[in-house]
Amino acid sequence: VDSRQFAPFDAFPAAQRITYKFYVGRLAVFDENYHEAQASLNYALQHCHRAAQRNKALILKYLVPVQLLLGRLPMPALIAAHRLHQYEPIIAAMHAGDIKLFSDTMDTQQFRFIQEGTYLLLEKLRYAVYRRLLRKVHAVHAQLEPEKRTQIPLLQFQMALAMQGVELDIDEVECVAANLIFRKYVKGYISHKNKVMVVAKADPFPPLGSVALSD
Amino acid sequence: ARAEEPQNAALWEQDWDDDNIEDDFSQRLKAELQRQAAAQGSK
Repeated sequence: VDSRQFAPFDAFPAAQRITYKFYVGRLAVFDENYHEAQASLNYALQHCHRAAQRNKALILKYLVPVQLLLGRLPMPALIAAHRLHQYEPIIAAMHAGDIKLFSDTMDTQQFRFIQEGTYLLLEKLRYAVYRRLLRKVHAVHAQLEPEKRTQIPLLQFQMALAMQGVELDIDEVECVAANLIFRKYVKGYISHKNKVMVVAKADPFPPLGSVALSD
Repeated sequence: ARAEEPQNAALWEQDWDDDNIEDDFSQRLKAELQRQAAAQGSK
């Protein structure tokens, strides 16, 4: 369609342009090309007719998880207007870094999310939730021990998880931390011997939108 | 007719991922870490 021999995109009726962008967006999700998915689905949403509430809700069903992956949370009014309440606990978990709430929601809503075709997409948010929690641990630790602010003991991360009711042994915690670094959610390295995660002094938690998300 | 939503920019929140630790969980975490540090210091 992007070919020059093809009629210009704007020459097509709005309904066709919107439908096309909707499916391009959904395909981009499968290709793990989330920025393209975001742009295409946003186009569909913005050009969608004001009165086409059902279509808007359908577009948002896929756009919301994509936006979450890229670090943008939908406003409560948007969720309410389109009755996307299934995402409320996911959004709350992401905001609070609440792994327990995230896991419980993914378990109880598993069937629904699979049916709606968003389960695998939502599952990718798990590391964003872990990161949010680690960021809180980092911030609290920095306040208590400013001179050691870049050295986060893995025990503290483990304790924060335990406070949520998530019991992981220290090796599992180290594995989560290693994954966060490998996936570029956190800039730093792990001192295996000292069980400490050493994070960058400047900008240890880069914006989610800039993190490479494909596996 | 333009069918765009003028308020689109206001639909998404972007600056939520901050270092604010005023929330209840962070405060509990802080209290717990202080408690442990005190327990270790007294050993």
